[in-house]
Amino acid sequence: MTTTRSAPSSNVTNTLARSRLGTAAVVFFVMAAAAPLTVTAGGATSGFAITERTGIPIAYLAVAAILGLFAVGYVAMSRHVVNAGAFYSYVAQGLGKPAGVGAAFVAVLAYNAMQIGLYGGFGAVLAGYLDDRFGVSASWWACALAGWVVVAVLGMLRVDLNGRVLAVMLLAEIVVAVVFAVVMVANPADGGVTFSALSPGFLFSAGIGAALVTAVTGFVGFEATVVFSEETRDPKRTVARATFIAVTVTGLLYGLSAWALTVATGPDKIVAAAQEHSTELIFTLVRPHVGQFIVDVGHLLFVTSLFAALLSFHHTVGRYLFSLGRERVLPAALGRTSRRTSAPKAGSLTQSTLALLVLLGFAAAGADPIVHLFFWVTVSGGLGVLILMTLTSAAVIGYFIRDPRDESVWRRLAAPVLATAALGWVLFLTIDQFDVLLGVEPGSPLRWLFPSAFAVAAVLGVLWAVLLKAWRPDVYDAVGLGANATAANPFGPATPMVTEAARS
Amino acid sequence: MLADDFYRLAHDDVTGKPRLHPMAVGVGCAAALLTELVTTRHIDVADNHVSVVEQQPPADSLAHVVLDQLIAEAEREHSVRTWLAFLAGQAPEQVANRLLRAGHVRMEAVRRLGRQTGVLYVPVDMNVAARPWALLSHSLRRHEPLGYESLCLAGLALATGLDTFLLDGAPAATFDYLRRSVGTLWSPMRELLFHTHAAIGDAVLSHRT
Repeated sequence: MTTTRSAPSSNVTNTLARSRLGTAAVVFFVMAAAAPLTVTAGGATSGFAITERTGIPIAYLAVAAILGLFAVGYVAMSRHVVNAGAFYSYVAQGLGKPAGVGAAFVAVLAYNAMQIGLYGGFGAVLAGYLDDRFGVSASWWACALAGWVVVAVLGMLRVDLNGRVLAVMLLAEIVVAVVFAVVMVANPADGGVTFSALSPGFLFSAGIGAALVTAVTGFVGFEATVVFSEETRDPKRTVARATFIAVTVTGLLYGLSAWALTVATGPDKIVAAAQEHSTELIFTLVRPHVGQFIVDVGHLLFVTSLFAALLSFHHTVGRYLFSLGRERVLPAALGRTSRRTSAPKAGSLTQSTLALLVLLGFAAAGADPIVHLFFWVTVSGGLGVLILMTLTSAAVIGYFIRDPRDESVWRRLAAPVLATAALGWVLFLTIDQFDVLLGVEPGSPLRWLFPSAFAVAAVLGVLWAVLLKAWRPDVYDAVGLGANATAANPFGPATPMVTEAARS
Repeated sequence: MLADDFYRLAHDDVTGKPRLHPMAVGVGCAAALLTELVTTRHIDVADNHVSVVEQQPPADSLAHVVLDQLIAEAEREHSVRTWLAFLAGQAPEQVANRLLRAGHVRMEAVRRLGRQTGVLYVPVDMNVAARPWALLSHSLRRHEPLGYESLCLAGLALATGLDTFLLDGAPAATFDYLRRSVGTLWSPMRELLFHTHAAIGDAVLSHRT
């Protein structure tokens, strides 16, 4: 990056700019990770069915607004920190290193949960599709394992879905989702087109925390825009634009799509309909009006959407583990890459092994893939990411208080304060109403199991940071620096530590 | 020339295929070219910047080209990472062409499904191509003290991840020896190699591998 000297264009800057990403590329990448069709066809319907709340559509819109607010401070801070792609590095640089390591442990747990839970959806939907169209009866876990093998191999080879393939698939998903939504609104249930599911009154009703965290889960992945900070043509603006576009488009898509579902069934019958048809609901509703072919395309895109999300979160976990391995917060072996593919092999293998164990465990326990694996586990992952975002939002405030760094008051103080308050409110409601989220009795021990897992991870992280400070102070100093950490860099110790100046 | 030796180290001595990911080859060759200029005292690497110390043209034409680029943008004070990223685009091809001009490699087309998709630079004499690896690997395994150029080459290998290939099968003590030896390099080299290693790591994080 050049220092601010105006002057006719620099050959170096121009050459680098040619290979860099524009706004569209970044938007496509993160929206694919957020997997629109997975959310509209799978997440929303499961949400209605399991939480038994009708306010899911307005929850999506409300969460989009909150995340937009969060993004203001988040993107502003990303311009100043190294290792911008990981939430925990914001927390480490804004709230202190013990909190940072705690956040890192929460992040590893949360993103793993997001990924592993998706196997349930993938397995069930693929098995259902094969049975429906080809009469092939396969169990959900066999399909899930097939998906696992492909993800594990692609992960080891560090193959990411080709940018163009991803863009085409994403556009197709959006088109299909929009078409379905239009068809559903055009064929309302007896009551006609009503907007009651979008009523803001729902935001203050009982059990709304469950709907809100369901909504948050759908957005997870949008935060990856900052990963590309160093790779964009205009670092100051591209990431900000891409983040807001991603949040807005996905928010509108999810909210209106979920609302269309309630219009097609009637708001009073949506819960029952969702419980009856589960992830098939959207297809069942549109089939009489669009014909089998479009429904087949929709099913196929649903499966590919799930797969794209699986691969994306696998890479996210691999990146986090790699970053932590480079810092030596986690074993250094995780920070090594394969010579030929530059893949973080150890990280990829770790995630794949963990996923396999959990999958086999759920299969052996005879769990329901949609309710227990797809919904419960991914939404718990969503809770983890919600915790991370709340901490990050607070970290933004802490970071800029010490040094405003030329960011406006709105970006460094006003927006983050509002965002932290809003996220904190959502977090409180979620934990308070976790039993509604899971659809279990208020007294059930399960309602404490998932939230406390994150509390345990955070506490372990803080303890580990304290131990690191005592045993390995050089590692402690490098927390949050990722690949720029001196800890795992063989040329580290004698060189001045890479600080913020390195990013200019 | 140092960059030539790094190129030989980074590619198979018989087939000419890279032993590293293309991004790592690029950054490694870029760092090697900068190392040549540091060695001839034309540039200095300090405080995260590359500064031109001597404007007299170097003897080698490729080094001259790189120095010219550095001189042209001197007042913009790009960071080390920016220079590595910029030079990495062309460096492997430039170094390969230098080897080609000297007659050490020949060009071969890479064909996929009958169409030419790229170029491979195949070594003419595999003994010459394997020499940098052989000498460096043997010295390190015997814990022999290394000369400056060998040390720079070893540093580049370590920074780009070629150390596992270089010391394949060696005990952990040899890797430790490599690290300790490379740690004795003077600060411009250490800083350059630090950024090389970090740049490759960052590329993993941003999915650009």
